[in-house]
Amino acid sequence: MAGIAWHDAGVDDRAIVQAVLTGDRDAFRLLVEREQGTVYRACLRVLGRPHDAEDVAQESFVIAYRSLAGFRGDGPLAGWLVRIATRLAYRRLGQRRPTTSIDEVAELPLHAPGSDPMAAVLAGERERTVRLAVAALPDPYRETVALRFFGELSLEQIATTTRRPINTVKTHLRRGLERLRREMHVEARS
Amino acid sequence: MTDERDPRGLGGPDGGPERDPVTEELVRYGALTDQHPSPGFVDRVMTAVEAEPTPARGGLVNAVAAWLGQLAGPARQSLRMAAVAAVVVLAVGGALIGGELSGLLRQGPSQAGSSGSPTASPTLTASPSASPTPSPTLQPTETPEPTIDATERPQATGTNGTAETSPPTTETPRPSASEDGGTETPQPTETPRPSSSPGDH
Repeated sequence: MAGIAWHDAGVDDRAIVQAVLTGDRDAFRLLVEREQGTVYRACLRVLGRPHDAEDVAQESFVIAYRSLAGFRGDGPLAGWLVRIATRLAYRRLGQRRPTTSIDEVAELPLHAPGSDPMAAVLAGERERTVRLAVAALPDPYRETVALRFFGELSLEQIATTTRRPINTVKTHLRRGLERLRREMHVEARS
Repeated sequence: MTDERDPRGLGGPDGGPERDPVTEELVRYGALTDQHPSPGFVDRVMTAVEAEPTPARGGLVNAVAAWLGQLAGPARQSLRMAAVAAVVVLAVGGALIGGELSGLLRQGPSQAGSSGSPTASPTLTASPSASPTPSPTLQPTETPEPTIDATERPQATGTNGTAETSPPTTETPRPSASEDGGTETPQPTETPRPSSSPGDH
């Protein structure tokens, strides 16, 4: 779209969506460049594997492109994208669960390995515990915790993205954290 | 971007500064995974998107959405209220018109001047008039009368205990009364035949 300078920092989400819907693919490129980090990190925190995270992040953008006409604009476009990404990531995680015990060893740790291999293994084990504990939460607690801590969304953004009242979001987050506390406590004892 | 989402401000469930060990663990996990996709990720996404058709909503919807997108917040709210009011008015008007039409249809041909509706009502009245056809069932009720006569005839024959030729012999004495007329004289000559029956001896 010629009338809008896409590299301006303050471009509205609605304007981007409208441009994409009229056939401007450069507008979608801008969206991918702007949100790739958030979407990729959300996928990585759910899946724990960089390769799978990048694959799911790419699939999330493609699905978002297909269904961009359904974006109502009530919340931020980033929240809408992150919600798609976390759902796809958990779906991918559920599909590969039968081989978890073998693959999890090879993917640790997510962060750059330090000088101490034992510390890296312990850190990787702790990451895996957090990741699986959140994945074991039932919805809507899992979605709320994932959007908050993996998708980097605020409570208000979660409320607008999921179309739930803010108090409901707070309740879901509190109960999700309580369940996580019990689960991770049991995991640490075992 | 980061100031709006505030990833570093991840506190308790209410967003406050208090943190429990689980929240600390989640924040630490998020910090460890603060990474970016590999170079060329955007190009790969755009290559995949190139194969997709444009997600168009249609001309009219696009135009309305573009116009709505240029409106400010309060103007958009007032427009949304006006649209809701228009939908309500259309729904009420449609219900009223539908009610009037159904009322006209229920009133029947007496008040309606059209010639199409009366043709339907005679067909409804004609169907009950066809039901009196059970008149042929009355004819079988007349048939039992001959059966009554048939039951009386065996009683007359049973008194004689003879063959079926006996009833004409019992009726022959009646012509004897006709002897007064003198016209049927040959019949009394047949009456001596019963007298010569072996039962008399």
